[in-house]
Amino acid sequence: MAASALASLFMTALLGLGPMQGARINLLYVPPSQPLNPDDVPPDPCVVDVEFFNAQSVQVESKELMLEPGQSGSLLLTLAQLGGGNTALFYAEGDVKNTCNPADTTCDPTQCTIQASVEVVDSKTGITTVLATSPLRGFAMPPPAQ
Amino acid sequence: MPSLAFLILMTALVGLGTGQKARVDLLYPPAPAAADFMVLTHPPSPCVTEVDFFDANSNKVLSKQVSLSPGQSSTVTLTRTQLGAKTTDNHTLFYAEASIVNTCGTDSTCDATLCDVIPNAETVDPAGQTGVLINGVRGPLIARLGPAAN
Repeated sequence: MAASALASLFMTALLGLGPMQGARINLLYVPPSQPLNPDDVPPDPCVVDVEFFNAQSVQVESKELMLEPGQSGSLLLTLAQLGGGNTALFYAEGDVKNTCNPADTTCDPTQCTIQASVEVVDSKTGITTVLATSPLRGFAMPPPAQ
Repeated sequence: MPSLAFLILMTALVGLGTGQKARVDLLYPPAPAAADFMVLTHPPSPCVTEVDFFDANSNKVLSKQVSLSPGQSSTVTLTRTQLGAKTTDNHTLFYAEASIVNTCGTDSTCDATLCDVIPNAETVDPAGQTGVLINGVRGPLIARLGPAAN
């Protein structure tokens, strides 16, 4: 599957992790409530890159998630992955990959209705202490010039 | 036959921690007084809202309909047990939707989109304290307009 352009899905602000806290990115591919327009369909599956960065914008964790409608996926981050210490800052990003075959004029990655959320979670209790959410859908950027 | 008219809330995926519950709160504020000559249509009475909770694979785990008149409110609560949370998993993901049900029937002066129900979702700890307020979508969401349910 040849992936080219990316569609920006979300980017959080800087958030802090303290002792016994972890962060997680959750993605949900919102199932469509109506039959898809055959002239404008998402790639199957929708592919999303999610990444965590430290305060110096160094990538510390990443994952490629392939989602079908209704499915979800997550990526976890620990304080240790940020270099340890008692507290550290991070931010998160997600991008929808354009995996459409250029010859397929009906394929549109902006039809990937991916909803993202980022949580800071107490590692012991599993309770969410901070929640950041994204718009329902991102917007595709044009493919990079070849 | 009533059908879902439009979506008024869809939350992000959020986890329920140990002892936590999820709650969708619905408020139907009192209607402001309107000049008689302006009133061509009216909302159904009462306004019916369907609240659905889903697990991380979009399986519906709880569904409840709530009838509200102006000034009333109601809450629908999801427990970890209803979500199917395992004891080994202290952070089980869910999301919630709320939709206005079109109960207008054949009344051409009735308009379900006039049901001004304000939703929000939150996680709640065992002591009743709110953990996080989950931002959803406020108002009709055309992109998720569903077909009539039979």
